[in-house]
Amino acid sequence: MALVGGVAAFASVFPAGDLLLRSSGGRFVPAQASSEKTFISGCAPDCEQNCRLYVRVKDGKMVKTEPAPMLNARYNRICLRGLSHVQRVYHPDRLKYPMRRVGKRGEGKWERITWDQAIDAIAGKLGEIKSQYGSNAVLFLPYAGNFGVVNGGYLGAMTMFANVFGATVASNAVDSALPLGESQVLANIPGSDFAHFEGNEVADIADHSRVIIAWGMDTAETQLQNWHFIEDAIQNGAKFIVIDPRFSKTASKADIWIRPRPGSDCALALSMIQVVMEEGLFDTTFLLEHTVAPFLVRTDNGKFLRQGDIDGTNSDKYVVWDEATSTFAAVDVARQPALTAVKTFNGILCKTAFQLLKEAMAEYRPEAVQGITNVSPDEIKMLARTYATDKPSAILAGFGIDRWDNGDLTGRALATLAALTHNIGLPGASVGGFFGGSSFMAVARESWRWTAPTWSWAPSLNILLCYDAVATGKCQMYVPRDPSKPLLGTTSKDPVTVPYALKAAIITCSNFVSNLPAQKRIINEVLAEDRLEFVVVADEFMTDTASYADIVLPSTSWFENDDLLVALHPYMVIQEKAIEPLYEAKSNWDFFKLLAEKMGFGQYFQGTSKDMRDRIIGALQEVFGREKMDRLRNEGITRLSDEPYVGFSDYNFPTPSGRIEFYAERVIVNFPYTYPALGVLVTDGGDPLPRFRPPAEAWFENPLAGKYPLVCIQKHPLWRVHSQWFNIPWLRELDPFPHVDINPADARARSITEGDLVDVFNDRGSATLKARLTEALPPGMINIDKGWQRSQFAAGGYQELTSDRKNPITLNASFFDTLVEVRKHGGA
Amino acid sequence: MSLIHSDEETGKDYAMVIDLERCVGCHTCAVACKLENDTPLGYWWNRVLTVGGQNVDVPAGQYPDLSIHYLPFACQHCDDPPCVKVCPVGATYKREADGAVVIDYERCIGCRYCVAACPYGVRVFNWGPAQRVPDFPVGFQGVHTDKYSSGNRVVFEPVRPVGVVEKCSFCVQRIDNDELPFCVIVCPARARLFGSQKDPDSEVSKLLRNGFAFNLLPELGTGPDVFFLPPRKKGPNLQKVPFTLLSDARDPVQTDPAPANEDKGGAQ
Amino acid sequence: MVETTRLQTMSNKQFYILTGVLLAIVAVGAVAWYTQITEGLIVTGMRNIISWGLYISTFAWFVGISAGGLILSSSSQVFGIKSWEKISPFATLLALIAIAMAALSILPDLGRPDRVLNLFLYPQFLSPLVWDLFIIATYLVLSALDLFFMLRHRLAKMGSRLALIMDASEASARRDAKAVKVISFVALPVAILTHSITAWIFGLQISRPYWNTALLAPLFLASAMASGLALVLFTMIGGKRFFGLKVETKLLSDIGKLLSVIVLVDLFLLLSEYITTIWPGVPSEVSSLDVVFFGPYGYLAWIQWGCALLAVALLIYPRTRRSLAGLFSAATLIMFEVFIYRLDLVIPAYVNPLVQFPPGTSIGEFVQGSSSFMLAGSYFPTVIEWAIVMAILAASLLLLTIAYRILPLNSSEPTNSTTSVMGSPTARAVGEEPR
Repeated sequence: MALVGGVAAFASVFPAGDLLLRSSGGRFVPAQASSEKTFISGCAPDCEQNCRLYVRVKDGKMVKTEPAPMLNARYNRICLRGLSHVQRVYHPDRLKYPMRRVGKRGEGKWERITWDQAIDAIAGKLGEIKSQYGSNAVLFLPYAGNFGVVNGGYLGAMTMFANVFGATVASNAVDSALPLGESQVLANIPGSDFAHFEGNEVADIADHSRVIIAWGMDTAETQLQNWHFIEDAIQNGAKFIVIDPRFSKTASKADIWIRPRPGSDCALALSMIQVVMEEGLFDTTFLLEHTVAPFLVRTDNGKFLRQGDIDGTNSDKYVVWDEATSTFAAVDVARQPALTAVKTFNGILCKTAFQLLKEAMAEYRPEAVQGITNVSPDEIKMLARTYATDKPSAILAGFGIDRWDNGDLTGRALATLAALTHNIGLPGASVGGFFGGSSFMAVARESWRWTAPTWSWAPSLNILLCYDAVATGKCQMYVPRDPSKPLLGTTSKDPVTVPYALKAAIITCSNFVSNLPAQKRIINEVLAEDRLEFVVVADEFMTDTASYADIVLPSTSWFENDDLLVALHPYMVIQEKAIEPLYEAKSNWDFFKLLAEKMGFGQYFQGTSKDMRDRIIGALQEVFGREKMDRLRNEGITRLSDEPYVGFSDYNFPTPSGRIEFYAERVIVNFPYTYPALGVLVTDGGDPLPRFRPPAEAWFENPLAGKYPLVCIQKHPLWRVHSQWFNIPWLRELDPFPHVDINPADARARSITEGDLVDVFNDRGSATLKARLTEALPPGMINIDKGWQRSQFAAGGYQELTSDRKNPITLNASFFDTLVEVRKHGGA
Repeated sequence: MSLIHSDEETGKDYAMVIDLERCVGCHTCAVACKLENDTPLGYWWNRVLTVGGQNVDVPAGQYPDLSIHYLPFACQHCDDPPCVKVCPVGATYKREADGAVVIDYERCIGCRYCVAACPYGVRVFNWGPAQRVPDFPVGFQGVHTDKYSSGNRVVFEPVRPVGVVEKCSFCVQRIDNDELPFCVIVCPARARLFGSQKDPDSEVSKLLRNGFAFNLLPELGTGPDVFFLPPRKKGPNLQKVPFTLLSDARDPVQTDPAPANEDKGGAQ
Repeated sequence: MVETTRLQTMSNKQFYILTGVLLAIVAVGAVAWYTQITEGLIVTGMRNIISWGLYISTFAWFVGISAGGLILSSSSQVFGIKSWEKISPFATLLALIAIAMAALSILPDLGRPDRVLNLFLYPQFLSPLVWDLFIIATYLVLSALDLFFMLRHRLAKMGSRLALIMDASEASARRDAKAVKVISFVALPVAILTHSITAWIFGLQISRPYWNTALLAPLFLASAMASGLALVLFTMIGGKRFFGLKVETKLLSDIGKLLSVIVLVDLFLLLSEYITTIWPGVPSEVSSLDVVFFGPYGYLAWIQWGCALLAVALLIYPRTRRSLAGLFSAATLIMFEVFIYRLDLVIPAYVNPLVQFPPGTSIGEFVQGSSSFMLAGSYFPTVIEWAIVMAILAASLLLLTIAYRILPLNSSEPTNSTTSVMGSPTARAVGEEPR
């Protein structure tokens, strides 16, 4: 007895309890299993993969996420981040209740307040600012933090409120240059979608492409769910080429890896165009029928020759040289338009657009660009020949080539290359992203039906311009000549200075202090207490941005409210509310509804977010039909576009000529817009043809490179989506601390060894972090993975290094166009 | 001598095949395992190793000959498991029903002999009270006893006791309910296959028949049931992986099979 | 008449002080073990890569030092070496205490000592640990019986109840002697098996190339005999010097000679292992050896060899071999180097896993801001581990001290001689009151 008692006492100290019973082989009876419920939702960050998820809930707590079926099993998906939601939803650092700043902005001292107090304060302040400066002085700053329609940044509650109130909405300045360039060639009528989103659907590329070029695109890391499609293509015999200065995961799987000088991609593409034209590898028929190639251009003013120029009528028909009759003829009557023609009319020398392109490309012969691109002429020729002849070929253009000041020029070059070789509009032939037929674009196009219940739209201002507006009260931009057509007009040749007062900011779905460039300027100038008088941030965590708020509001996760998920893949998914909001968190819908009610226009925010979702589905039904929306209601998922989606398959190019305009009479400008890609403006002047211009800063010929010789990029790693998941324990185990990737030769030259603490710095700021030596980066280029918050660095932050330079045409954040130097921390 | 206690035969002999060509080292399978099995912080049953340079995601070689591959790595479920042979109390055993090597968490005495014996180093030990975020059970959560063995073997429980060894069990709590292991389901690259070697028509059997699959440390004779398909490109880093390529060439093998074309017949 | 005397060691006060100090050390160890039980083995320095350490080395060392005693006393029976007969009970006692402590020292290494009964409920007979369990149990029983039969007659003569059977006749002495002889014949092979099986715990594992050699069992035997004999020397010299144990220096010197031979054999086996690895130069095998001598724990190997060679020198050089100080130093060095050898066997074999790629193995502990993985293992015993090992050592000394106090280990006569036991009246222990 004593022995048993002793053993039992001994066993009882073990932390897991009740062990004696188990060790003696007694039957273990499991506790009564509580019921487990399954909900279906979706993961809604800006990864563009947006997975449909089963959410398992037990006793009101989320316990698991699993992939839920898409309508096509090839699109079933989940990733390491989607699997960590239990750690994110129940993270101990979740914001729990509204807080008001005490002390200085950014000091980190808060007092708890109630939602009522918060709403009162916000409503009061917005009212004040409206009466003092006008409602436009309130800046609504959404970003891509949530792709749920109701609670996200651009298609739901936030936009509705901004429109009704009349705030200014900050518009997109990221991922805009490359798409602008592609649209310049393929879709340059203001009001068209970005051509970038008209690439073929990824399943089509998997099944039909013979050549796939991932250009500035690291699919295996940043588009993870599209990777298996590329593997399928490879296993079907497709040739996989990767163009990237970095030996990325994707490059490691390529048949051919080309390593150009960072920022020189445009010159490489132009050189390929030169080879294609020189060696006759272009598709004449396609050029004649669907591009401006045969159109004659007046060399005196750079405009297309029009029928009216010839016969004095009003006709603006385009004119070609008809070889059948040896005369000028309108394009719709000519029997045999010439691809190449140099003819004089009335003393005006006219050449075909094709001819002009060829002449312009002469300076980009492979031998001539070798010094610019660091790619050998043989490689360039091989690339061009492979792309042009082993068709159908797809160029998957990534934002690695967008984040430079010359990103739009690269987009233009790639679109031109695709046009010349007829690698567009066909199964397997695509240029742009994988985003064809996406539900996001389809819904964004129709969002005006519900986001402006008072039929007035808030003005938007490009977020980069907002920096200047806040800091200085004015900004420089192209403006519409006709103010009555603010979104669809044309501009003068040069940007003008526009006074713009912004006095307050409401920020949700955004961590712009971390994710937008020139962090020091943001903190010191934009968020200075005497510039922006009032800052409200709604978020799940105390991010870099939330740290600088005056009022912080706790947001729900995607699983704590109902919503409708749209994505850059073709499917739209009902997101069911799976668990009750944690602590005092509220969804954006609930927050803006409360605020609207307080401010007297609550009638536009009837019901719950679920009710709003139903109304949205009703609106979409009018566009897409009952069948598709019933499918959504009954099965929880639907597809809005044809399957498989091939972009431009009807060869209807939204340009003034209806054709691909590799030569264009006018240049489109990234006028501030809210999604979708409405409102690009058109400016007179600018380059009618693609050409190369080096990056603004990160270029070997820049004298600054003597002082700051290293190009600094910030790739998007698997561990985060932008800055979301920055604090998730499982992911931190795998990726514990910020590090700068540096080539061993560069490290040796600076006496830096593996794991050393180093400072990365330039005139704009610095970051202190550990070094990781890798041959994956070429000498002269370093990388700091995106998404770390300031508190995670030993000192400073990586986003201090980037510039908010404003290219007036692209208005795009050129993160990679950055020069820095690196030195060991604490030493010379 | 039979180390297995089994009342039922399932007629299966499970194997897992991992395609190193498709794997891009995204760690989704590693995190999935943590979720499904509610593994504490600091413990990984399944991990993704970088075969390349000296650090994660760092390649081997010098430009232009750089190479990197990834090796998802967990229990190999050997046919002749050294861990099973050394366990003094028979807590770990190979299920005769389907070949999975599992651990009875209620019998393990924590001597860590199996940790010493495993050539692959895939067994982890509960050194102390587990840290978990969140602090309630997630994943499978329930207690699962071996469906095919007698003796009430507790082969899964959401919180393993302090002082016992744990490891990948081919998600025994799932395969006993006719579900695939969780890592197989989630792999974004579709690099994982799971099936019975006894079924000649399973994808796994087909792949193993074509001779390109390999095991790790084959010279030790452990007979793992986890196989790998070699990547199609060879690089300087592959010498480091302890395997022998069975063949120099690799035929493109479809791991996402198109619907079978059944109509091979025709007029004779 | 035969005069058997109880060893008068010291006054009661000194005795209680000595036992009190030892008990205190044991108590500290007990507290350490309690901490380990409530907080788990994370309080040790072991983690998932190096998952065996000080405890298992201590276990193997204790098993080893128990060899010498029993082999001495059994060999004296089996091979008729009369000069060893006098010290047989003492040697057997050492063996008994050592093996008992070995069995105890495995307990702290278990993650679930509360489930130790499982070893008896569900033994898995292919496991060398189970073999070791049985052989150690057998060894323990045999040593206990051996010692009992050696001392029973004396105890009976003294009237001590420990004799159990109070027959003090000559016939019973002869019966006892026969029992001892039989036990010795069994004990010798059992002793050899014990160390071989303990070696096979490590040597049969293909997962650790450094262990996986056929030479491991002979190595363990050699080092066990060396450390066991050294232990006998160590305690006997200490006993002679401080506690009046009666033993001739010549006998000790002879044991010293034997010891030097055994250590040389041990070193020879190691050299054979090294040459067989280095000459062919197979990289995977050379790298294991490289870790042993030049890895993070390389100092252990050099210390081991240094001590062994120094000890051999002391034992070969006649002047030191014949001096008590020389013998004592050599014995200490050998026990120490064998302990180092055990540590150096276990730890370096874990440092580099066979499948070793970044990020490495998850170590079983989460530290914010650090990776949960390590490529190569790293280990240093913590205070808790040292405390527990010290406690086991102290416990063995405590048992030895108590045994000294109460058992008639000292005798001028052989315990198992079949010749007349009429002893010389002048033969008496140091410090004995004349009758």
